[in-house]
Amino acid sequence: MKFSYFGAVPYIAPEVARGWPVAPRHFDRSFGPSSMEQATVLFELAHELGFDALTVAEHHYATRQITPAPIVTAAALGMRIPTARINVLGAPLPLLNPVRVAEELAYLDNLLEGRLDVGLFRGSPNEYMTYGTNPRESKAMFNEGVELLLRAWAEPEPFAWEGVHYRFRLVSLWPQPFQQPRPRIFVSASSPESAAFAARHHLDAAFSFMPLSVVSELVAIYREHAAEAGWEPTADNVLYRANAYVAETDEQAAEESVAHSWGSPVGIAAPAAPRDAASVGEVMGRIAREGFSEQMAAIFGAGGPPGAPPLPGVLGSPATVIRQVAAAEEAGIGRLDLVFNGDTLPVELGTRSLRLFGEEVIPAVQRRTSSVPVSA
Amino acid sequence: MAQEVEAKVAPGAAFQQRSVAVAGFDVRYWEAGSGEPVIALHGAGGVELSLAHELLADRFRVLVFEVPGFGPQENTSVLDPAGMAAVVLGFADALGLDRFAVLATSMSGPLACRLALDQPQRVVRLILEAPAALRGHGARNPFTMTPQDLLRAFNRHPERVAHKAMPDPAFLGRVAPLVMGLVGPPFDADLADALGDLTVPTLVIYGLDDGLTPPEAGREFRTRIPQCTYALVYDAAHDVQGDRPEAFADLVGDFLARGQQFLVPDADSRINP
Repeated sequence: MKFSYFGAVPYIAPEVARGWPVAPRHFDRSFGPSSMEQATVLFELAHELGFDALTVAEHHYATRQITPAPIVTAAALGMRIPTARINVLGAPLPLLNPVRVAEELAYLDNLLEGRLDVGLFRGSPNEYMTYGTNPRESKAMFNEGVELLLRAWAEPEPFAWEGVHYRFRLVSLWPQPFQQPRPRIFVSASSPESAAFAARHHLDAAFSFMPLSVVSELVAIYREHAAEAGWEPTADNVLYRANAYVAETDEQAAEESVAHSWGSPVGIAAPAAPRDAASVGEVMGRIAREGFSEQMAAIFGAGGPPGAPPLPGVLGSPATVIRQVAAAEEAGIGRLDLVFNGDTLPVELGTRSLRLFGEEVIPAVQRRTSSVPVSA
Repeated sequence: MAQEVEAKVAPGAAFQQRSVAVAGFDVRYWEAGSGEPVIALHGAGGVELSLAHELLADRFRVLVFEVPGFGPQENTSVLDPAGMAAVVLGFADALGLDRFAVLATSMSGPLACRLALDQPQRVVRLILEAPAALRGHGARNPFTMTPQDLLRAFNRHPERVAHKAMPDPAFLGRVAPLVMGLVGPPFDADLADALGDLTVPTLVIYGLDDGLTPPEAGREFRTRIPQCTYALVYDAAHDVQGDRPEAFADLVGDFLARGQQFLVPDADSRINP
């Protein structure tokens, strides 16, 4: 099992407005740099604690994750921690220019001399409002964007792209990626259709915030389609993202995580104020229903009131969490991408949880793995 | 046989069927539209008027040329690209076309290249759709494929070409020597060398899911021809016109009208003034 530390980069200030979107008037510039520095210190700690990689993601217009341009974050992080592997998980492709994403990631891959893994996702429903993306077109845009990016990373000659959603009359990428044939690319495999898409294009599969029983079924579908496409994924091709909270005891972990609404989707799924609940909230619900699924609509539909139940995750004492990691392994997962900090959780609690995971869980999992005879 | 060809072209309602005597052949052609002339040369399946032809005819004078031997008349004499290029030139002469663009599909790629190399003053643009020329050794031989494989190789969207009849084995058998002669070897080194001197602005188009001529063969044209755009059409297989007719007509029409200037748009992109 490989572990990556997902660093949310929350805005940290004495008074933090929450929800989505957050009005820019709440931004106090004296807390901008310090929020980034605090996040970076946690990235450094995670690296020292033995995490295999550090993850940054793209989110917009809110205090929960102030990383609208995660490739910028990744570049800074990669320079600050020269031995860390960085995950950009990921670029919400339907919101962006796929050629530009291909260029920036290729630059980053060279800058990091190959210490890069990539995710290409559809973006969470609320973020379709960021640049005005039609949710009903987002899946088709995503699928086309992936093929365009793959071609831009592989094509030795300048080419024109005549797509359904994209037209580029001249694509000729410099630099090309450092890793050959290309950096690892994770895409969401959270439906049978997207699992098949990932397998068909020889891409890695990512799951997030869903029950392991569902992940396990989708991993089986992913493997079936990969076999049809002539390749065989291993657990290393499967990543699962979850919220994590570790405390000395299960009771303490449960109590503290509830007390601080840890894992609540507020800030991603919830509008800022009752007034917005009637407008933005309804839009989120429609996007989730039409562009994604009824399950997504259940989370995003009403805007998710501030005490919404935490999404499935890793929670408990080190011993409990070690068992949860084993359960993830049994589901076919080889990479756990864990979120330890956020805007609702006091920094010291998130840091303590991270330390416990790094000091108690990672070594135990490594000992267990290394005691299993390795077959050729 | 002639009747079957007639049935195939039924969708091209705007097109008038005509014929003209060229080099001992009674050459059939289908014409629509006005403006700059475009001679369209078909693939191994014979003349197939597409929605793309119709759309192009809204802006240009489109002349769909039937390679002698594909219609009712026999052709056992002109079976090579250079010879057939001369027949196409004779066709242009007979119609009084001084300068014209050439749009060649698959099998007709090699002869269109020869025509452009021989007549750079008269061929104003060269457009190659999944050309058989320089297709490389990775290309598949349609004569050895099952009908199901052929369908997959040709079309991502068979529903968009529902009007097309499946190729008749008797027809394919009859035209096979002609097709083999016109497509030539997988890689014609002499032609490849000659293309280095081609002065005609060229657009070479492949469907990303082409199951017959690998899109990567487009690199051969891009590296050799000085003014060449190598275009990949998403969600299309070998029959780009059939799978993405509007996209094909847009791409080709823009190139016909603006040449290499089509690399940047000239349409007004303001949302509102």
